[in-house]
Amino acid sequence: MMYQIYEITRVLSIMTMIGQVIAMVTVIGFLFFRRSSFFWDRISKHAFFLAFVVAAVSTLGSLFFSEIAEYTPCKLCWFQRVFMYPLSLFYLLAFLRYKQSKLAEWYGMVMCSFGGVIATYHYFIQMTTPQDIAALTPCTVGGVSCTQYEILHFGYITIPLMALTGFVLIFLLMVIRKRFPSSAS
Amino acid sequence: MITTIGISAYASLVLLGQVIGVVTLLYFLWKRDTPELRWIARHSVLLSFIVTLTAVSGTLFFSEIAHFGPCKICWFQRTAMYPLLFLFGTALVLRSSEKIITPFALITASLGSFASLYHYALERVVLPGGPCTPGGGDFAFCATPYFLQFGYITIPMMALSGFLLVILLTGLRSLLLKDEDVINGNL
Repeated sequence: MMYQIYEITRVLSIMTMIGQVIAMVTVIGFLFFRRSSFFWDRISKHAFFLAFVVAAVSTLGSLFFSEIAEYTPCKLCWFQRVFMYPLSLFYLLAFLRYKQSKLAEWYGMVMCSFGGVIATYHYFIQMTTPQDIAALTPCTVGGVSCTQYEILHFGYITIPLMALTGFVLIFLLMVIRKRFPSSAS
Repeated sequence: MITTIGISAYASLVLLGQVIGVVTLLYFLWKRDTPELRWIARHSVLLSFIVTLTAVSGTLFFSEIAHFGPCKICWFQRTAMYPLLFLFGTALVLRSSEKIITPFALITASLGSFASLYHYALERVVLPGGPCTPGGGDFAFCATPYFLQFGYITIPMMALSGFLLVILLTGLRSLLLKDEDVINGNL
């Protein structure tokens, strides 16, 4: 069981890395190719579906960590969950029935901003607190340390960084959708 | 001291909300469609925002000021309540009243109210320290209420009232308003 858990967290880390590469390519592409093109229109058209996939993977990943791998979520983890879980349901609805929704664009950006700030803060305190001290500094509530990390892959990927990647991807998708409104959908 | 005042204040608000909710529901079942009910339906986004804002401020008061550690079921109820606040807040700022609000609010608030009902049943029916999996560490036991106000109001009962009010308001909005009213963003 330990081995499978390790393998799954590695797969999730690889997916996180792929997501980060996609996010970076998107940002660079957005800076240099601002005109509407086939590529942007395609992403824009399927933005809600892609956002749903990102949110669903993040939700299932976080449930895997807490329910199967039995890592107890700390307080900051819970606040990130609060901003990620509803997006799965929201974008599922948006993608199935409400493809013209303007509210869905704004709602995703608002939720991802809050979630992203919390995830950044969490990753920052994880990375800057030495791990031997981290075990001694619990969060104020819950008793589970926020500064200690359960997993560390490729030397830098921890759970809040996975969450941050998810928030950034959904945010970028909504920015693309606002910048290049899809005519047909 | 502030904890006691806060508990009485939020419990009174919950009681008020429950009375208003029941009266509105009975009035709706009796009359179906009146100008007053239409007024509520038109302002349902604002009213739901007020309800969820009260609920979220309550949860933050209990956890951050009164230092009641939230248990796992509490956190799942928060996961349902907080996004509703942001949804209604975003809709208010955009002056938008899109139809996607209805299914999202109904599903989220229903999931939240199931969690609240289960939690309330654990607290009131099952003996304290009953079969609830605590979140680990110093997380609170789900089956032990922090307080009992007016003989029946505990924190999950407060959450349940909030969720049911949101369901009532969203339900009134989708039943009483025609599509044009909703799409034109007539809050």
